[in-house]
Amino acid sequence: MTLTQNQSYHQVDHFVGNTPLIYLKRLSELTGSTILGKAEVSIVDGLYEEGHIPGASNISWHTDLVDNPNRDIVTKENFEKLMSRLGVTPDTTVVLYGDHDNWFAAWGVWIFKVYGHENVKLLDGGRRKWLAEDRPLDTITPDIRPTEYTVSEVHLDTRALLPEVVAVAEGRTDAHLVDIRSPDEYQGRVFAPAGIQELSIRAGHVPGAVNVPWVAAVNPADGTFRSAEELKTIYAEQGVDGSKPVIVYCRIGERSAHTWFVLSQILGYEVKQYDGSWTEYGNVVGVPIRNPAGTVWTGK
Amino acid sequence: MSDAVPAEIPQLHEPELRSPLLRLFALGLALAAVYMTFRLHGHENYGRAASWVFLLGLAFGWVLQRARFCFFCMLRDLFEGKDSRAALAMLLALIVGVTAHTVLFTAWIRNPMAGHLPPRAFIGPVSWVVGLGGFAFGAGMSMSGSCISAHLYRLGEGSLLAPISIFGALVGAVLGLMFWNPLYLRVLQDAPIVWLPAWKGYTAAWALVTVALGLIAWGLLRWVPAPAPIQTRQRPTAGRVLHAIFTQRWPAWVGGLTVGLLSTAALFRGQPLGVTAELNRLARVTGDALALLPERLEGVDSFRGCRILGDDPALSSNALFVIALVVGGLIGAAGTGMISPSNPKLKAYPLALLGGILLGWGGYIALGCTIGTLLSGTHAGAASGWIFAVTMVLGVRLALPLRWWAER
Repeated sequence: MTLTQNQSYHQVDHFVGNTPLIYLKRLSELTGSTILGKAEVSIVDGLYEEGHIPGASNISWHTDLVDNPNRDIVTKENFEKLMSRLGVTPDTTVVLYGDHDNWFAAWGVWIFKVYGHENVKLLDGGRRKWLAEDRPLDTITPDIRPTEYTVSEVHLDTRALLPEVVAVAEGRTDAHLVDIRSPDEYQGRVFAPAGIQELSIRAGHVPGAVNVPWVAAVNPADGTFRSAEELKTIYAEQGVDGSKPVIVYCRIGERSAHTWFVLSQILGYEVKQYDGSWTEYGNVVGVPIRNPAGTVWTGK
Repeated sequence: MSDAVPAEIPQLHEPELRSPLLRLFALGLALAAVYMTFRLHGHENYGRAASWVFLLGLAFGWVLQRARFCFFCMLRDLFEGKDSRAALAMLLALIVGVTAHTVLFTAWIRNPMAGHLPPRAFIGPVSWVVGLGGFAFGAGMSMSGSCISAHLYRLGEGSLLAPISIFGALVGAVLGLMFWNPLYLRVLQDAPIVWLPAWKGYTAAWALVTVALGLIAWGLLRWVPAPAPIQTRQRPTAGRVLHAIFTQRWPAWVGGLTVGLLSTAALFRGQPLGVTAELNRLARVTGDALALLPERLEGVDSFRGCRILGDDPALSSNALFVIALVVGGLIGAAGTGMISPSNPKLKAYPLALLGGILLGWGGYIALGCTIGTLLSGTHAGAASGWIFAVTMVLGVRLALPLRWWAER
């Protein structure tokens, strides 16, 4: 699953194209090829074991891409361990895909970029489209020779922390805020989507944020991304045109990774992902909140 | 061994060498093989997949030997002796394998008609080339006395012809490589890859194959010999069970059942069963060294089957499989406590070489032999496997008189 020594990154580019996305047809032509690492990042337990794209490894979002028990992204050391376990070298192009239209796989791309692994792509349409096209699954886990992966640079400039978001909310910093949750969450009519336990004490959104639900970026039929032109228009209609830095957030930061991918990787804007998101912001004492619906915890 | 035995001893597996030491040897070898399996698992250049390949090779060689699962013997019994028991076991191996593969495939591909092939399975191109390969291979079986896999497990039984036939197969594979390019460019490049379930779904493919095999089995029932007088049934004791497993030849149907399941296990845990990929790799190395081959072999990598895989400096996984198969056969043979080296007539030697060449050539152009193309292929629902099967039977039948001549 790893690049052989004499295959350069440019050769990989020749195979998969110099885009942040790889398309199903191309990937399945490359199935069995040794130039790619493939990994599934799904949130539903047991999906990978049930069957995955032939040759793909498993990345668990809960244990591999976040830091436990702290609320943080995976540490540099654990990311290095993960990459070594996956047999990845700095030259390996890794294709990520997963369930829920790639939410968690997009989080994976973000983490890869944070730790300086630029050769990472998202499989357009993810698991859903692969299955919709009745493409073959496999149940065998690839036999991978571990590597000794080391992270050489960390790019924390793609991550926004609370003070930065508060600064934008208070007008001290100029940036576009994009809330990608559902309109009901954004308007403050509900605290969280139905069935979700992790709540914030306050409803509403960060002042100044515009609402573009993540799903606007995908074709409803198969979960693939809309064309770059369409995407540009959709976000520009809400004033997000790349003229200012962008901060995206959602409830816990995983769906917003999807929008982060769209804006930064497909449209090339300067984007930070606020992974603290509403479950952090909506619980913080003393920060400004906009709540058009006026819903109050245990009240109304 | 060869010089001491008079020439008139018939080439049958008469016990000649009996010794309890043989059993001890088998036990030692089996322990060494188990140790190897664990070593491979932990080895940095091999790992878990290689360990599985080795284990499956051991099991396959041992089962082939214990059940005398041999395509040529099966057909010979049928054509000469009007005894269809081995043939029925072969049909059972096919039905079990096809059924178990169907179970596997339904988990891997929801809709087989969507135009995708299951991962790894040996589903090859359909053209007259696979038919010709099967025919040549069948003729080679009659001439050399068995197919490649049986030659391999017979190495462990002390067969004198097997090494000659295997050498011939290497030569044949070099010939296959030398003339590969025109075959590929004129025929194989455009040949369709036919997977039976892709036609009308899993149910139709499974039913078609099972009914066809069932009908053949029905036709063969008349040649099942009358059973021997019923022996007094004895309560199974540990000793009797061990004797049945390690010493007595297994009933044919046990072999058929086991081979069908082993083939499925092999696909499930890695590569389908096949014994000629390593032979073809050796042929390529040899051919290159002798400057016999074209600089580029067109399109070889585009097919599934016993093709040449990447030139790994370490032992290829197919080499491990073949080595394990030979060791498994040897464990099976020595475990009986007797070894019966054959003593063929002089004229059998050149015939074994010639037959070996046909085995190697036919197996190369058909992208596999009785194991890779026929067994793994038909199990996977490959039309190419069925074509190979039919023409191979024809080849065996037409060349059978040569075998009679060699043994006369």
